[in-house]
Amino acid sequence: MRTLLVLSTFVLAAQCGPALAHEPVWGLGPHTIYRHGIGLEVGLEGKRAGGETETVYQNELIYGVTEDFSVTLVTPFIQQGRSSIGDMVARAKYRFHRRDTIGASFQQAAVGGIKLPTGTVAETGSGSTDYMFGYTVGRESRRDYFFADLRYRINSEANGRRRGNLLNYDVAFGLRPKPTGYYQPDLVLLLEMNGSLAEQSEFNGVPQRGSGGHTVFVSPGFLYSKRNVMWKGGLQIPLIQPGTADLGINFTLAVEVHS
Amino acid sequence: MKSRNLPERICWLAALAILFASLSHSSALAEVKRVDLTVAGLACPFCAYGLEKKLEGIEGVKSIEILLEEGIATVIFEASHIYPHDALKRAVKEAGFTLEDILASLSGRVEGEQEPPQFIMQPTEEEKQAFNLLPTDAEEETEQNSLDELVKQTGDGETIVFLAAKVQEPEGAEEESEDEQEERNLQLVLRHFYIVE
Repeated sequence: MRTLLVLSTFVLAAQCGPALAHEPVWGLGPHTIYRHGIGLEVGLEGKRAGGETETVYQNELIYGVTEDFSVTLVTPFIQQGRSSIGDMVARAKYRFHRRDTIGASFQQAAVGGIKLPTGTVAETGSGSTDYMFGYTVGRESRRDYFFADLRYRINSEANGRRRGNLLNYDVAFGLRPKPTGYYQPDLVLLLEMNGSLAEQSEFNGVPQRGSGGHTVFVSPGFLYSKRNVMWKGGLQIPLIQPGTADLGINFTLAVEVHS
Repeated sequence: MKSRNLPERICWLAALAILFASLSHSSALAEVKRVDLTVAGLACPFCAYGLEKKLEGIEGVKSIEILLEEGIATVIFEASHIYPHDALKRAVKEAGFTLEDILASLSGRVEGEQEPPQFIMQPTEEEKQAFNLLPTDAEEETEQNSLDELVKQTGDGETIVFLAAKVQEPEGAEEESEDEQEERNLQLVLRHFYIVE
């Protein structure tokens, strides 16, 4: 049970965490950072299930190579008895389409990433190098937000174990209850639906019973910002979960600063 | 209290007069200029920070105000400068937004002998920038914003004109080389002018 919890937390940390700026809390949006801009996000993600709580602390460093191309490095710290570094993730996003109007913007982007086996296999790492690619689209205005993304993750084998490949899909709606001026605090309320379709995991080539399946979360969240600082947080509540698994409730809270 | 003799008083008065004259003259040349950029894509304050950062990096910028609802970024400059058209365009682009329009308030002089009339900014002896003046595109052409009236009142000379005008590039400017961009004159479509002599 504990192993399942830890492994599922790794999955969570490696693919759901890094949200840039006013993207969805759990999904991925098409936004990048301005050219040569640097952003730092510090936060925690956790899971509460079966009376136990697992926590992952994450640092994210974001850099704008151009205004349409950003790279992100994620360093998770796993809190499991003692702290240790988990599997790091390097990701790139290329915004290939943008249509701006006064007070609104429609954007599309392609994303790709790699998860590196930097964590200690027995405790905090999967031992495998995994790959992700995907597509994201979003429209934001002064009043409301819409995001959607589709991502596919290819998991490789390590020490005889291979987690099933994963297809993630996310849809998010946001509302700014009271549009404010540039120097005033800004609040956006989000409601997301996060789904994943996972293949069965394998151990030494043998499919593992009870692994894989379809999972869907409903996720309320918020984005609160002032000028170059943004707080974001939310919950993931399971709506559909495979078999008899108790996925518990995921939570996250982070702060992002742009220099 | 120590009394001052007449020559010393004259020196003080002369110094004050010179100081006043230099301030009066330099205040016209050093008049703060303002540029209003109409920017598309400004949907949220957190994103707009990138625009503020990029505009701050332009030489001579004194202050910036961003109005999200209107999609306007107002830039105030410290003193008379060559109008930084390319830097403003680049700042909006690198912030990740779309520049739609530029309204600039400039001080300089009119040279009306050529066609089209020219508006010249020369903040220093080394710097000089010329704009082609075009007729107003305002719905009503009044005495206040008439190009003919401006040329008639200022003619060719040292008159300082405070001018609010829409800045635009001539057609085909996007295909220019860097050298061509340096050589070409921007166009000012007249909105308002105020003459300071």
